[in-house]
Amino acid sequence: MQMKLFIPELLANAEAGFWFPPQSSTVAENVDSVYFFILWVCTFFFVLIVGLMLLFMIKYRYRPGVEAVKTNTHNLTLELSWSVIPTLLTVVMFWVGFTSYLDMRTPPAASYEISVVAKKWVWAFKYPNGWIESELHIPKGENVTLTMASDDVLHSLWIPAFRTKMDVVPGRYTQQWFNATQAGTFPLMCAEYCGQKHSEMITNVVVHETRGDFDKWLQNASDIHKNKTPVEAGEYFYKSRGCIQCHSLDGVPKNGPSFKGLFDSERKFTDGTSRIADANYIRQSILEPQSQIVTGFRPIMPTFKGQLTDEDITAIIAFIKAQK
Amino acid sequence: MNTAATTTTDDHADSHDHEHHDPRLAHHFDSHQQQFDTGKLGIWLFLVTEVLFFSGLFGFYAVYRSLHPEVFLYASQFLDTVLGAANTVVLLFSSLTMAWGVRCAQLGQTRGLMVCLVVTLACAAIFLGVKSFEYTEKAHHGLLWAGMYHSPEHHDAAAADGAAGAGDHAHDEAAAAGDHGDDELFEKTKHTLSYMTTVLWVVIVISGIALGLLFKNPNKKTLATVAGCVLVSAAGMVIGAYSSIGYHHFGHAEKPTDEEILMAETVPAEYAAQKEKVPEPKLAGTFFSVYFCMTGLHAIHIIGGMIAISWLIVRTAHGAFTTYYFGAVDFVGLYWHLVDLIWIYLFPLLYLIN
Amino acid sequence: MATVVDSSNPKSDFPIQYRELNYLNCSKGWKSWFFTLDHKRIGIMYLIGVTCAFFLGGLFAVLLRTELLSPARILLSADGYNQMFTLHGAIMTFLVIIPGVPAAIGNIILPVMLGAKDVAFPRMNLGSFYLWMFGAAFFLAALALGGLDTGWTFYTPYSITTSTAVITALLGVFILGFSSIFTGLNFIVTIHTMRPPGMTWFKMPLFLWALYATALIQILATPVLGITGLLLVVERAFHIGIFDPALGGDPVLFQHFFWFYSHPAVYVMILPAMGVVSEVIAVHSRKHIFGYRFIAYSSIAIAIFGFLVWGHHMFVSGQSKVVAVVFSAITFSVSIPSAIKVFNWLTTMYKGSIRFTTAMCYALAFLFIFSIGGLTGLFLATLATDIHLHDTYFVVAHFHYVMMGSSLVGLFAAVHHWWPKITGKMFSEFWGRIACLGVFLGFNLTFFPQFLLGTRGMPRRYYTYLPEFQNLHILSTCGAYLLGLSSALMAATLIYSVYRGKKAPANPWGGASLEWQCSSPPPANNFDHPPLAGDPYIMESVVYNEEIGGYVPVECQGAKKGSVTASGDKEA
Repeated sequence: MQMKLFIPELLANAEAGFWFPPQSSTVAENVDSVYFFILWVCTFFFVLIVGLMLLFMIKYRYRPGVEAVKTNTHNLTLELSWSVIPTLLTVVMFWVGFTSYLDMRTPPAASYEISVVAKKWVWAFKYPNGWIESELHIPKGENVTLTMASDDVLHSLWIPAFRTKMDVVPGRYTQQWFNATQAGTFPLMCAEYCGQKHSEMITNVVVHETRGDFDKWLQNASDIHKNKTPVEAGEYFYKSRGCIQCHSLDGVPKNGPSFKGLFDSERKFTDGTSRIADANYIRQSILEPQSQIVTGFRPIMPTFKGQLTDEDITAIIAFIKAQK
Repeated sequence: MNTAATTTTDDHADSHDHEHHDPRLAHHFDSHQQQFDTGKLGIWLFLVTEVLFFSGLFGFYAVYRSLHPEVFLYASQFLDTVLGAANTVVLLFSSLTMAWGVRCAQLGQTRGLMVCLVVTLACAAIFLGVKSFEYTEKAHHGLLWAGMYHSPEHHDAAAADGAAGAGDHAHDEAAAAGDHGDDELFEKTKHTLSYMTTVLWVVIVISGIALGLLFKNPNKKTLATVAGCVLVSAAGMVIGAYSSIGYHHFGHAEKPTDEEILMAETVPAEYAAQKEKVPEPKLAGTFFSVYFCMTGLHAIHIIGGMIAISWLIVRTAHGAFTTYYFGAVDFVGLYWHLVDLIWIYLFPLLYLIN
Repeated sequence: MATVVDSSNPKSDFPIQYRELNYLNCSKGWKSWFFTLDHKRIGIMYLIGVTCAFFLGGLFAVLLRTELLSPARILLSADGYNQMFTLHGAIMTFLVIIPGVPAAIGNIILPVMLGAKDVAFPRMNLGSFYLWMFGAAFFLAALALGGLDTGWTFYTPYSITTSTAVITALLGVFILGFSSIFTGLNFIVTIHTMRPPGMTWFKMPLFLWALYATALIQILATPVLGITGLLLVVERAFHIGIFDPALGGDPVLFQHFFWFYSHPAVYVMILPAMGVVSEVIAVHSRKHIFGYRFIAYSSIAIAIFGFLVWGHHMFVSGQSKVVAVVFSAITFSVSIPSAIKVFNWLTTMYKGSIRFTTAMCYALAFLFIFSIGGLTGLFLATLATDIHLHDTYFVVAHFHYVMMGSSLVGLFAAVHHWWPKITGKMFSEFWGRIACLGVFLGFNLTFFPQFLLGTRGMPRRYYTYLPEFQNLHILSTCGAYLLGLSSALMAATLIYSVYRGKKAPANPWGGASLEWQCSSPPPANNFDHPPLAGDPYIMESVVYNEEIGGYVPVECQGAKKGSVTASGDKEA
């Protein structure tokens, strides 16, 4: 009774079970059943071990005048049995884990391809039409394959509700796939330590009910220059491409200079030169960030060459210009 | 110590030795045989750890060679096989003298032991001398580890139009002059050599002082022997470096330092043809990373060996070794053979890839 | 250092030959400690060093847990938090758990258990201690020079690009590695060449088997860590392009090399603790250990299998499927020897006469905690579940159950079991047991909620977290406070006993192995003549003597009472 009162308090998500977040992909059920199989085996052995221990602790505790009874110092049958039986059980465990693993790690032939670029500390999901978004949107009931690359250090893309995880490794591509079974929004996070804001590298997976919904969303989202003013579009890029991680809008410098009052101000560089921050300067800073480093900052900004179109950059310039 | 308390009235400080009068037998051993066996097992285990230490590097070598065979094929041509072979011979010879020295120690021939140890030390120094020339030459041509690597192809291009274009880069200028840069190389080698000799002096003097402190009273004899060891090492290094310069100078007199031309003649025709198509693999610098790590670590072990041998020489001068107490010589000998053996593997793996 | 026995106070005016001399009072002055070649004194210095490092690492842990009370900032910035967990991990691993049982307790007990006068290479032993000090100094220097924020695993390429003091810390790891190698080498040689007459391999106490297996791992795995660390130093300093993807290197290769050492290192941590538990359970249950050979062989089996399973740390790192499957299969094989040991320990207790001394309480806590730690390992060895659980709090909980809950509780058991032998003083059993209970409860309260956090989706090394995890984090933090206080109580109890404790008899618990045959504390030479060794687990060979307050060999007791029969004692 006490447990029942206590458990709901510990649970934030009412749909979730005691152990896991809701099962929202095709492999999740499999993974959970493997988990619970092992859990029951372990519980059995744990109860056996601790039960025997408690029993012996009580039954054979020291009593004055009662000596320990000399028993056999070994018993081959007994010892072999507790070597062989666990061995057999582990073989079973290995097998169920192995078969589910193969399902999880073999991407299906036909699937919707999204490429992922991870960099400190932001995700960029690139859809087949070239649209890049910082949240992952996928249709329900369809195989989705993520092809992942990292711009800087190791990251790991984990969606607890889908029970899938794969490291994102600089210098090579890794893949993972899933098929969502539930529409909704689920957290997606970085699981491999990647520095200062590792714990803020969290975003959402939005599962759309139907392919139609998803397509509509993508259509809308990628039409940004039609739907929005350049300043709004610029703000969108500012948030979705990770500028926000290093460039503030309130004048407080973070890893990079603040955008507030940046436009038309004079910038001094580490090589001693200086320049007025006009549109060309901003364009060059986005495409070749290492070419001019403002005094007081480290050369850590990645290039966005090939990731932003001219129109996108124009929008960003408009946005920066608006930050008076 | 209970015995000390109950049977003697001596100061307890003496009690360590009161049972054993032989200072060559440590108090916690029962016999010389046990002491020797213990040391032997210890040194073998130590060698196992050394092998594993290097095996990490060999592991890297295997991984990168299997991933990028073309890099190894391409880059190994810049290593001078003759110098490598000469060093191999020198080390093999030093192994022989070391083994001979162990035999001398077993037979109690102190003089023979001394000669063998000094020769071994000299050989080790010659090895380092040759190595210092090789390193200097690599650095001279910009053939350094990946982060510092300068493509030799780039060099040649710079050398070709170097005459016309003003070399904006100091290094390119050096390369432009590099065709006749033997003198400069010579100067650089001398610099390297003086650095290495200084380092060696410092290392050996410091370790000499440290070892001297371990002896109850460091005397003139010890200091003189240490100085002798340093002298032998310095002389060996100079001999090694100067003979490499000599070889380099005379062996390449007709064909100046352009190693690629040299290699184009020596490598198989099909490879030369292939090279036309793929001039230089992207990761050529990785080979030199591996090269410098492996030979560098090996050189550190050579230096360690030289210190150990110098220590043996000092102890020999003091007459420490006898027919029943020669473990230290034996153990250093085993170590020296291992260092040798590692070179025997390094040489073909790095120099003889074609 | 202040552990000077009263009856033989070196300041007393008794002429030296009338004093009871032991290794603690046979010489005095700081030089007699810092330049000592006596394995027991070196062991004590290790013990002091390890204890300091433990409380430093523990302080970091408490700060970390305090920060995690809320997703918002409490004490530390994100960078401060990252540095704190890195140093907590690095200090606890390299400075506490790895040298804990082998270098501190092993150094003191191993030669005495062997009836030897010292370890094979006493100078190397002292050198190894100074390497440990030196390595620790490097860690502290790293702390001063801008900290370290890579995680104790130093994963590339983060460790190449971060601006913190990675090189200093790596040099520290390198030096500590050699300290560990030298200790291991010393132990192997000592066990091989210095066993007393009568002690065949299968008459060695199981603690020695465990130390032997540990030493094997130390000398076979640590060099690889050494070279890996060195290459990372060179990579950072000179950019050799071996690990750095920007120069064509492979960052995953670093993980392979790192875990090739660091997985066996896990067994360096747990095997000695298992050895301790084998001793403690047998002695305090007054029973012959059950299945001696199976326990001994399982130690060796763990040492061997431990080398073949490093890839299970990398199931999601992008290694090929085949490799992952093979590593998963081999990983399961490691669980079998551990299971064998647990069942053998249980059977040893069967029909025993169990004394709930502090040491035994810790051993029982070990059994409980290790069962959970070992069994949860199965979830991580299984491919399908590991993908979800990898790099989450489930892993954090699992390895704390094994490393902290098992290895350190094993160390605590060892300290309490051999404390009378080491210091010659009895500690307060009452406070000892209270501390043990606190450690047990605090530990489980800290780490059990973390299993739930992990399965529910909390990644490790997170400075801030989703609000739904806060309740479990608060529980965990409360546990950490209890654990910290109990550890302090334990240390206080032990330190108090040094000054005010009752004098310990030679054999307070009734052990039959050789270390209980020399006085407490042992004389500087341990044994003047190599003692004859028999089966170390025939508890009937010693009986309690009320006058002495400890156990005495049955012959001596027989001389007084004449009625006790020795059963099965083959000792000469």
